[in-house]
Amino acid sequence: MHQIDTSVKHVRSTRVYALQPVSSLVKNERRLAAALFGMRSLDDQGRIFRISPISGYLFYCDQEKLWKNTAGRGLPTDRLDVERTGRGFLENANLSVSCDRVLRREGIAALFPTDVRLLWVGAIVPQKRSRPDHWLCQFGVDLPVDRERRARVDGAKIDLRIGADRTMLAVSSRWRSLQGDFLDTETIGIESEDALYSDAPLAVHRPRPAATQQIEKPFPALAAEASRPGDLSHGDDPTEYLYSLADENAPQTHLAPFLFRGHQHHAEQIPASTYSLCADILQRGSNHKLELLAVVRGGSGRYEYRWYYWEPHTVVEAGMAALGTGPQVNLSPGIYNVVLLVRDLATNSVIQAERSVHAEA
Amino acid sequence: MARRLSRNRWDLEYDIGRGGIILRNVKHDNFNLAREIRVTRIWICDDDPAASFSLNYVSFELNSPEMPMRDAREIEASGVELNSPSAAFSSYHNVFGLDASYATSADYLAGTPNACRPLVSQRYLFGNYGRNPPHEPGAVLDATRLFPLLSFEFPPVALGSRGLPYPRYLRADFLIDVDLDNIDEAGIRSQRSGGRGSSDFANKAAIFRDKENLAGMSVVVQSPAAAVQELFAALEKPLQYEIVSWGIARAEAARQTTGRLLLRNTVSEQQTWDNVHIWPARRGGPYDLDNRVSTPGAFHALHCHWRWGAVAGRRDLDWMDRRLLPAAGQPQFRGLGWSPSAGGALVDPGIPRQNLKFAVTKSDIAADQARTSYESMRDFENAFYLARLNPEDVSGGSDLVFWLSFEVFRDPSKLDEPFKGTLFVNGFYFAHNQDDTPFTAAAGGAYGEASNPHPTRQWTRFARS
Repeated sequence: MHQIDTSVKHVRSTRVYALQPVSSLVKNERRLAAALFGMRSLDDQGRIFRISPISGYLFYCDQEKLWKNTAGRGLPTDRLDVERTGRGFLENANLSVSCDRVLRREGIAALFPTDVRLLWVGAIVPQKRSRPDHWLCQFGVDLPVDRERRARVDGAKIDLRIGADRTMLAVSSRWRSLQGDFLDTETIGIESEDALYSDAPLAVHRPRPAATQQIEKPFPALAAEASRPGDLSHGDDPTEYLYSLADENAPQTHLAPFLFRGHQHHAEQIPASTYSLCADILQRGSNHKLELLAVVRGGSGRYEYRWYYWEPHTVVEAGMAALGTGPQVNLSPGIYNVVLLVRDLATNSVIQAERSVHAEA
Repeated sequence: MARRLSRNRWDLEYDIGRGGIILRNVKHDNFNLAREIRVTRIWICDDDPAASFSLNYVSFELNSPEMPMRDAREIEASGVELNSPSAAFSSYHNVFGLDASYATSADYLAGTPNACRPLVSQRYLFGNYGRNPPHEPGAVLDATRLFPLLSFEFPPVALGSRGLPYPRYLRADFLIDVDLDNIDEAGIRSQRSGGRGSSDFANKAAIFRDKENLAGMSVVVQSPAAAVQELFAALEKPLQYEIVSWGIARAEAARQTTGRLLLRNTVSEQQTWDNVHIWPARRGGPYDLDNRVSTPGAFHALHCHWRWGAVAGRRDLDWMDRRLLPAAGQPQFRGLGWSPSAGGALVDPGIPRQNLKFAVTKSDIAADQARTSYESMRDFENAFYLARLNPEDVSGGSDLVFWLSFEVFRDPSKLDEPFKGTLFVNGFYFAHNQDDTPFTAAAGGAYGEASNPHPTRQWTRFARS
């Protein structure tokens, strides 16, 4: 847990990461299967490989071997060995990808983060057996926020299942590879300079041509006074940085930092870069109409809103419908599921919020 | 013949045979969830079977000669049919599904004005993994959701025939043969030194009734010495003995039910349980807590909730309480008949007169088969009483089967409308995360184990005597 230096009031540099577009991962699904596991197709002799078309998450399973080691033979015997095997797999996978010219041309330089944090490791014993079938090694992801500080990526998890003779039996990765990263200034009183780029953690420089995708310079942030990390006016609650990977179904373009201020059981997130967005849907109901307000914090303050809704009782016939493009929309009394998509016009950063809303007639 | 489906991180086999769509070896993200999930039997009656000896109390197995299948298909990710038909659960993101429909091969109530061929459809919807929409009002748990839906439809009662027999009751029984993985390394070392036996690697269960207010949660936050029993109105954690009991009692028959030794019992809504958690007996992980699991929490567990305490349905929490329960008020936590002092039942509002009974038993294949046969399952509770005089001890973990039996009674004021609806709309959710129990909850007793009321070795135990 890192204590924030509250004496810094003017500028704070934080690192923002651009996520690999899912489309490029899906387009190269077969090539990635070949690079990582030597597979000739996505279903190859009992082995399956998938990239989720929505989230870009990777899934691999050797169905011929997983859960088949009834005697528990040939398994590594200590945790360190398992962890080393897991880390070795991730490094080799990244090496294989980076050696593939086609993938490199597509901007896919590495599938996994270079710095993973062991969450835990344990041997998996199915019910009614007395010996483990394989080891499960779970890694979380930390990313540098700046030169001194690192932050956990909430929601990121890489599961590796390691079997006899250190064979990789399954990979389930809630992670999207990074396209590049750059320093973003949290502007508190001064305008930001051009974004700086880096193609490795902590290696900050102007982008080399074609080394990383150019990302538009962000407009100066117009963060609300209350959102500024320097303003820790709620006492000395422990505070740390946090990146957040969106749910499987939600679009996301960047991993941008938030300040995470703990408060008893729960905590609040404060945007900590011009790319960091928080969105919520507020409902104001009356007997005649349902008023929905987009409450967005962070970013440039210049947002594009897209609202969608569907009615649970008519979704099969009517499907999902567009509701509006302003910060406020209205619905007649009823029960709806509402999705709000917000795009920051300056940074192209997106965030999705959704909730069920209801107002009786 | 079983067909294997590996899609969107789910991996399973399914059979379409006698019994309809039967899911086997269900896994998510390579975590085992269940050996089998199925509808065991459907029952139809022209009266309340617990209070009558109607000859028209009949049962069907899906896809049997008496109730053949009309069609079956896999539902792809693009279809709006992937939305739950229940408004309260329609916001969950389902990624694929399986669907089949059935109709009886002969008329029910043949030769009467209300002769009909009931339509039944079965739909499994498989969700994505995440916490948006939230699975619990604290909105902290990543999980996937599975909806094993069963819909039915009978035509309106014929004009002028209300004094004659008509379909008045439907019951559907579900079986979930739970199969959660244990985490333990002793077996590797035991190849040299001897280790644990297979019976050590089992599942444990717990049952809970929620408090209606935030008192329990406030205790957790404010008092590190709080005990787990202060969090819930009633609990049995872990489950001490096999159990068959009540989850929802909203229909008239709840007040006149057949109990042990054919004594008449009265079941009130306050006596019912709200949810079942099932988790691996040996959990490994970062905490050396005797393999205990946190509640609230249960980060690697099957969760099935059919009611939440009233506070989970409140939309008017102040900001402090809202930070504890940010998702309170959302329809998946509110339920039918919700009031500020009592949570509602998570059922299809079109068929409000419902009871839910449930059982958690050891997986005894011979007994399971006996329970799914016609005679023994005629009365859901009796099936278990007859199988074993006394419930077996499962406190140390066992290979567990979770049974649910939904009863629906037709509304006599709506006989001119079709009698139709969907069962098991709440489904269940499956979390497989590393333990991330907040420190305050952990210190506040969430890992504790307790029973209240004290369980006696009898099959039916209520949340309140």
